[in-house]
Amino acid sequence: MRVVTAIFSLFIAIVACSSPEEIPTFVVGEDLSESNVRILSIDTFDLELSTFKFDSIVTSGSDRLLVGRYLDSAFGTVESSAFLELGGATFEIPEEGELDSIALILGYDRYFYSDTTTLAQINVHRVTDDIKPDDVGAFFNTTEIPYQSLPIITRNFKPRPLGEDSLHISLPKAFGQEVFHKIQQGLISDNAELINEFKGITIRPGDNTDAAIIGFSTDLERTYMRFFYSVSDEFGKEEFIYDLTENPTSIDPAYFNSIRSELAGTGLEEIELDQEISLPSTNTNQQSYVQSGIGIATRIQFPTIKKLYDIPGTGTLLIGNLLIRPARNSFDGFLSIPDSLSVNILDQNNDVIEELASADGQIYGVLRNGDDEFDRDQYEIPVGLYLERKLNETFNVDDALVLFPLDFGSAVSRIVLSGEQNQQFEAKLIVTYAIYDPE
Amino acid sequence: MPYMILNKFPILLCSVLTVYVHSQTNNLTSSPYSLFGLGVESNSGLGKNKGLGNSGIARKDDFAINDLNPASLASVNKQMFIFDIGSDVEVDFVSDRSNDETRFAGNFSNVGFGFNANGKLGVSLTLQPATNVGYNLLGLVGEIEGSTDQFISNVAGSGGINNISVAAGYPLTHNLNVGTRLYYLFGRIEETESVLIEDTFLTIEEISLYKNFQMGVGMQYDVKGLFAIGATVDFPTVLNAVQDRTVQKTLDFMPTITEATENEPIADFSLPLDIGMGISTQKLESFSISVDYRKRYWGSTGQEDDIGEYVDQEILAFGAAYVPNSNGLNYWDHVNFRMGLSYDSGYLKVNDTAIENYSLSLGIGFPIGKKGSSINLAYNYKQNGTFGGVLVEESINTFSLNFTLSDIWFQKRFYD
Repeated sequence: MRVVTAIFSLFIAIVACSSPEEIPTFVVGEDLSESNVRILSIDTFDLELSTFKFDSIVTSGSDRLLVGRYLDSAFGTVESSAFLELGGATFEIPEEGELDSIALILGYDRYFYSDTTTLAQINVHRVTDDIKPDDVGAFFNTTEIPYQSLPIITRNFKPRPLGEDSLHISLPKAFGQEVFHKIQQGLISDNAELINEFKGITIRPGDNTDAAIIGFSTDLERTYMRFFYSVSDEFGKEEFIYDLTENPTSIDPAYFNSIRSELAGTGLEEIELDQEISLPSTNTNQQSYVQSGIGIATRIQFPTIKKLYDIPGTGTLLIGNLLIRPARNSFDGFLSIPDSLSVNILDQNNDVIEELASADGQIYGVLRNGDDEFDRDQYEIPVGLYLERKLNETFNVDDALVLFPLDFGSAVSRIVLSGEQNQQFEAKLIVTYAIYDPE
Repeated sequence: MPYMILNKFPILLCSVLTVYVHSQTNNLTSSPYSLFGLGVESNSGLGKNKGLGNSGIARKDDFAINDLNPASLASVNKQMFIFDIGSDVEVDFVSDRSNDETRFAGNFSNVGFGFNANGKLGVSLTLQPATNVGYNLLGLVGEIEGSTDQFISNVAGSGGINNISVAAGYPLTHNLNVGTRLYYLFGRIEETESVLIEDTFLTIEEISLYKNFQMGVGMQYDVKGLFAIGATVDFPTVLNAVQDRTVQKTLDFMPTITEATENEPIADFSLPLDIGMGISTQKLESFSISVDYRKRYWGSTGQEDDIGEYVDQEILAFGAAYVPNSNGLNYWDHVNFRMGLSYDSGYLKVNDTAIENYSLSLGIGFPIGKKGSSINLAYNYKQNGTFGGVLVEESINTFSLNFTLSDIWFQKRFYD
C-alpha cells in the first residue's frame, strides 16, 4: 500500500504541476467557422443641420488682436476692432530725456482673413473708459467701450502678414507728450496711475474698407507702443527707448476683440434676433454656416437615430461618422477653412452644455481628403459617443451637436457647409452597427 | 468494514477535487471540429480501455474499473479497492490540403475509484471529460453589410463538459450481472470573439454553463464460460444551459461595457439515447478479444448547429489483449499487450459529409506488485474528418499514461 500511495502522490504532483497548455492558433479549420457577429453600415439616418448665432462669445485670452473689415458674399460685412490696455514694466525715464517720436508696433501673428492685396486702413483711437472685463473676467465680441471719435492716427497700408514681421505706425508726438512727462516727473509711477491718465487704445479698421482682417500678436516683445527719446550731455546725444505693452501687471485680460457683422441681405438676418432661433439648412440654400468671432455655428440633430432599435437582434453601435463637405467655391486661399472643428453638445436654448470628449481627450471633426473622384475635402466628425448617449437616454432630450472651429473666439474664419439635402453633396451620417445576438 | 471506507474517503475526495480544478481549466483538444455542439467527444477511457480501442461492454475485470458497463463492477474481486487515474497528451496533425499544422494539447484525462466489498456489489465513482473544446481562429474576414469594407474577427473557444459517474453492478444470477449508473454532466464552454474595424474593438465573451443528470443501465451475461455478452443503455437527457455574457467595445476610443448579463437561459443541449452491445471472450489461453457496437440516436434530438447537422452515430470497436503467461515467474510473463481498432461514424454532418473517424490503439500494461495494480501506457492513432469543402482532416496521436492501483482494503482490520 505504501508503494501505491507513493506512486499515486507522485502522479498527483505531476498533474498538479503541469502548466495549462496555451490554446494553439492556426489557420487550418478557419473555413469551418465564420464570425458570429453581423456588422452593418447604415447611412440612411436623417440629419438636420441648422444655423444659429451665439448671443456673444468670449474674445479675450486669445493672444491675438484682430483688426480689419471685409465684405463677404455669404456673411455680409465683417469687422473687427481690437482694444488694448497698455502698461509698463518700469516707470523710470531720466528727467533730462527729450521725446523724439512715438510709434505703435504691431507684430503680425501670421493670421489673416480675406484679401491682403488691397489697401487696408487702420485708425488708432484713445479709449475713454477703463478696459475692464465683466464679473467673470472675460470680454466678449459684443463688449462696448467708449473711445474718442477722432483717431490719433489713420494709417493706410498693404498688409504683409507673412512677408513682414510687424506693422509700424508712427503716432503724433503730441499724443504721448503728457504721459511721457508725467513718468519723467514721477507723477506716474505705476500702472494704476498710468491707466488713470491713459485708459488704452482701440485699433479699428476704416469705415468703408474692404480688405483683410489681420491678426496681430499680443506678445510683449512683438506688439508695443515705443517712446524714442534722447539724453544730451557734453559728449553729444544718446538715444533711448521706453515701451508700453499689453498691461503686464493686469490680472484680467488687458485686450479683446470687438467683432461685428452686418448680415443684412445674406438671408441669415433672422439668427441675429435670438440665439434660440435656428435656421434649417433647407431654408438657407441647402447650406449651413459657421463663423468664428461672430459666433455663428451649425447645429446638428439626428431625429431618426433611435430607429437603430428597429433592427432585429441584440446589437451595439460601434462607429458614428458624420461626413459634411464645405460648399463648393465657398473657400479659397484668402477665405481659408479651418482644418479641425470642436464638437460640443447644446441644450434646447442653444447653450453649450458640454464638450464631446473621449477617454483620451476632446473629440474633433477633422478636414480630410474625401474618397470621391475629385478628392474633395470633407469634415469627418466622430459622433459615436453622442449617438450612444441619445440611444441610451431615458426620455427624449432636445439637445443637439454644435460644430465650430477651435479658434472660435480668436479668428473670423468661416465655413459654408453643404446641408443634408444639398445637391452637390448631402451631409450624411454613417453608422457602423454590430449585431452579436440574432435573437 | 465501513469505517475503513470513511477513513480513506476524504483523501480520495481531495484528490478528485484537485484534478477536477484542472479539468475545468485546461484543454484536452485542439481540434477545429470542437467548434460544434459541446465540443469533440473525449478520447479518455479508464485503465486498460484506451489500449483496447475503448471496447469491452461485455468484458469483466477483476482488478480494474471497466467504465464501459456498470454490470462489470460485480466482477471486481472481493474486498478489492481500485484507484484509477490517467493523463493524455495529444499531438494533432491537421490539414486542409493546402496547409498542414501540428497542434498539441493534453492534461488529466480521468480519475476514479471503485470497490467491491463482498465480491458481489461493486460500486465506482469516476470523473472524466465528456467533451472538450479548444480552438482559436484568427483573422476571420467578414463583410460589412451595406459597404464594400471588411472586418476582422478572432474567435476562440475553450472548456468542455465533465462527467461524474456513480455506478453499481450486482450479480443477479451466477451468469447474469446487472448494473446501473448515474452520470452528472456539467461544465462550461467559453467562447470569445473579438472584432476589429478600423480602430474600433468589439469583444463578446460568452460563458455557457451546462448541467444535468443522465441514467444508464447495463448487463453482462456469461455464455457457458466461453464468452460473455453485454449491453448498455444510456437514456436521453437534456443538459440545461445558462450563459454569462459580457460585451465590451471601444466607441471613439472610449472603452465601454455594453452588456454584462449572468445566468441567461440559452438553448439546452440534448444528449441522445445511447445503446451499446458487445461480446467478449473469456480467457482463451493468453488471449482475450472483445467487440462492441454502439449507436447513439443524435438524429432524434432535433438539434441544429450553425454549419453541421446532427446524425445518428455508430461506433464499432474491437480490442484484443495478450498476456504471455499469467502463471509465469518472469516479470514479462505478466505484462499485458493490447491493441484496438475502432470506427466511429460521427454525429455531425457538414455539407452532407459525415465527420467520421478511424482509430488504432496499442497498449501495454505493466503490473505492479501482486494485487492487480498496473501502469498502463497506450498510444492511439485516430484519423478524423476528411478533406473537402471547408472540412479538414486530422491525424490525432494520443499518448496516455494511466495508473490502476488496486489493493485489498477490507481485510486490514484483521491484521491490526
